[in-house]
Amino acid sequence: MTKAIEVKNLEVSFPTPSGYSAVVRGISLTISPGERIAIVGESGSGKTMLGLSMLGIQPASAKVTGEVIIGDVDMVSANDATARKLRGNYISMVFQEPLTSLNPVRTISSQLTESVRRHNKMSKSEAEDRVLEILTSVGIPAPKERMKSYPHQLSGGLRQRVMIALALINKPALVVADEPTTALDATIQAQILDLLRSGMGDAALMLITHDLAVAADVCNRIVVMYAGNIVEQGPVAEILGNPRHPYTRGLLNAIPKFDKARPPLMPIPGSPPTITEVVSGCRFASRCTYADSQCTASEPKFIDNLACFHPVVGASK
Amino acid sequence: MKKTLMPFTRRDISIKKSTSPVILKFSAAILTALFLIAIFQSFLYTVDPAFLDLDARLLAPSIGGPWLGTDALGQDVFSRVIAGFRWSLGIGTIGTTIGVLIGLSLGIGAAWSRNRMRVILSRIIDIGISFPYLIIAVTIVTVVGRGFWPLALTLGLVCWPTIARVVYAETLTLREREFVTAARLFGIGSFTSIVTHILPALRPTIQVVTAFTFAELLIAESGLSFLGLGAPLGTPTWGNMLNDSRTYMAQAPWMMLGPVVAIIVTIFAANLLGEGLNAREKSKSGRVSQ
Amino acid sequence: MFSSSGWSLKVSPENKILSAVDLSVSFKVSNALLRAVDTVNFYVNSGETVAIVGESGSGKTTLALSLIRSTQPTSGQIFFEGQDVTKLSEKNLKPFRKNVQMVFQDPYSSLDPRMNVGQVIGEPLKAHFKGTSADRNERAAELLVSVGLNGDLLDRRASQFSGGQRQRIAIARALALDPKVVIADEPVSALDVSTQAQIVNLLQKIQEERNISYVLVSHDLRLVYHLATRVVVMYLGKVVEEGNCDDVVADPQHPYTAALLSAVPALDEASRRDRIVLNGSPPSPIARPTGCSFHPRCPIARPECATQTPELQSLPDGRKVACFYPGELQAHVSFTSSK
Repeated sequence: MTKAIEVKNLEVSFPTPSGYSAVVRGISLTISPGERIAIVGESGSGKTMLGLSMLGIQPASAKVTGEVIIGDVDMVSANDATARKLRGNYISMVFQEPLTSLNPVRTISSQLTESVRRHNKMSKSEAEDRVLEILTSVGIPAPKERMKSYPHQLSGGLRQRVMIALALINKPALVVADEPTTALDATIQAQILDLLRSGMGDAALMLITHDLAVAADVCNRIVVMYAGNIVEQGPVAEILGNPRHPYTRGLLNAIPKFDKARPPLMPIPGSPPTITEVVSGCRFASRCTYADSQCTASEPKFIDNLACFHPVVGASK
Repeated sequence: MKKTLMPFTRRDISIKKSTSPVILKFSAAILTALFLIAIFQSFLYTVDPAFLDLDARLLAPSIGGPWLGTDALGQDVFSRVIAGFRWSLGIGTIGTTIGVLIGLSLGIGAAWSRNRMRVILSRIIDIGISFPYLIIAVTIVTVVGRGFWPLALTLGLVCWPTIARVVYAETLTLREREFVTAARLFGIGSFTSIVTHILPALRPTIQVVTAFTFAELLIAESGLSFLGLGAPLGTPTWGNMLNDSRTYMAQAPWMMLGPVVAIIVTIFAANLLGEGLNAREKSKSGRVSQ
Repeated sequence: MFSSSGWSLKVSPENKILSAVDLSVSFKVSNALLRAVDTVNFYVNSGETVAIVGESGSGKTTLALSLIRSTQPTSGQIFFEGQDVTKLSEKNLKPFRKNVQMVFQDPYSSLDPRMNVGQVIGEPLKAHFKGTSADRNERAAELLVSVGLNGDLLDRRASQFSGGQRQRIAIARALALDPKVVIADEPVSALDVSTQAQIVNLLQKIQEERNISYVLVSHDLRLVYHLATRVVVMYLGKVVEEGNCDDVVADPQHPYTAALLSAVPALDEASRRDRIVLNGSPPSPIARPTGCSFHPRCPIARPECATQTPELQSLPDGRKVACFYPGELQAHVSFTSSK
């Protein structure tokens, strides 16, 4: 798959007592082949719903408009049969908790071979060879024996590797990983982050996380989301060294760092708007130190990788 | 029927109002009406329920005469059904109360204790659940005889194990909640903890269980009276009336009508109340995301 | 001995307010003995913040819970202000309970969702002080203000607040009895990044105002570095390294500490390049490796590490390490410097 993946004006909304309310508000995004991008946001940013709707597995009550173009197919308007051909094949997902995403009553091998044979014409032994190959490439020790294990017999880190193997086995164009390391211990997280960084093969990676450091560790591009919108995006070095959006800056200032002087953390006051809250103008304005009347009057458009009337200039601390 | 939204932030999202408040109000209204009938029964009699008229036996229902006909002793079926309210609802209420008191105490006691005590108490609950209720009924009838209070006691002793089991399971989970640990770490004693934290948290479950138990006990009372283990012969309870109507099913089918309708309406209302309470509690807890 | 660059601390050296001596906590798990905490010595001085770090199975949470006598130690002693409180009954523990409090990780389950804020904060007050509910409400309102919330919120149910606000309420509750020590078990990990910063600042402010000692259990090394003076690193129930935060992070002596530091997701390229990656996963405390419990995963393990167990040794600068080859494995932590 050599085409980029395009998200055009994606909007995901949920029914509320006062009508439909958007959780993802008209997002457009292009993911180049083999690229690793991180969607960074806090709770309420809509990042998880973005990932789910790109795969077409959003909750049934959600209304999705816009386009998600993978190859030549638009996932949003595709019928069930087409969507199922793409899922696990051209686009796949890694979830946060592998214990609940893997079938506990089937062996690793059977789950992996099922996926590979569903999307490719292969004999059982060819499929098993492919399974062995992918398990080795994600770094599972003694893969021939491990293949026959059940998910609960593996440690958290190994399970997550199996999930990644499952995501990669059909050589997808894009792997969406939603907080894949949040539930793991620190040293295991480091292993998985290394795997995500260098073990994706030709697949592109969309890493959804709340942790800017994890994003910087794995990806080459960072997309910052706030309350349903993309507020800023750019290469990792740019975002970390020269963040233009006040929210991005706020996030960076709020993280403790290894700094001998222990400068006080600068939290972002207040909290994000709720799904039903109606906000006029920029959705971050109420918490922004640079906001003025222009910001509450109208919402800034996303131009030149930034959605802000008053971008901040100068390197971050 | 009820739509639930997937909460996407840790904030409360209000859910579209479900139909459960209507169910709740409806069933509560019916039950209130039934209890009022029981209280004001003497005003509703068309005829004194104890009045026998052997010349007017097995009369069919009619508008001018007995509304639901008369039974084998010439007693007015309608008035007897009305008289049955006090007995049946009374038995149900008292039996349920006994059951809830015992069930709560044993359930919380078992969940709160440790090691051997917990094993002993939970075994007692298990034995209670498997204990055949007829044996209890027969024993009490043999020892104490038949009557209102023996029957209420029997019913109470029959229903407490299920209540205890539910309370036990839920208290076990509640006990692991951090706010209970926190209370202990303030130096708060077990009893205070149970009263301030466990009982209020159990309240919705107890409400639901009470409603369903009440309905069950009504059926049980009818069953026991039907078997001759409940109210003394001649007492106007619905179970007795069903029993009497058995012999005359071909000749006077209306004898069954009154008590059957009364039982069905009461059980229906009680079950509906339980469902409504259950639904209300579920919709409350669905609001805050885990 | 304590580096205090940029801080204002009132740390009294050698004033161990809470300590554990040779503490062990073991559990019976279907015929096997699980040693969650294995002969640990721990102390926190007045006004100081000590962090306990480790991964799953390290015993850090069990250690914290036994320090507050929530879990009963199997052997060893716990001292509070010089008094042995290990075996005191709940009745005699009341003064201890008043002085040592805890803040839990999950703000959604550490407050009773059915109670209102006034009752939540008033609960410890009720247990220790006689007085009317009006008195308690007054005190609760004061406490709410001191944690940055509005004093009028007493009648609201706990379930109506956000995670960050709930954690503030939990902190207000912990402060109600004016404790000398607060044990915080991952106090901010369940919160958003921007809220974390708010709570961290609050914790620091409270410490400065009241000279409270903190025992911080956390997996977030950056947070630990920011908040703690001293850090204790645990692996499989034992302390493997202990020392000043500044020194331990700049120059870790134990290979596990180096690996932990190296595993912190890097905000920059350099730290990532030299990342130390350990094999396998933290072993289960039931099936302990022989010799040094870290040796199966240790990048610099030698043959004798499998047969001999290193004891915790003191180094000249006050550091303690349990390793036969301390200082050999280096982690490259990039320090930033604020202008």
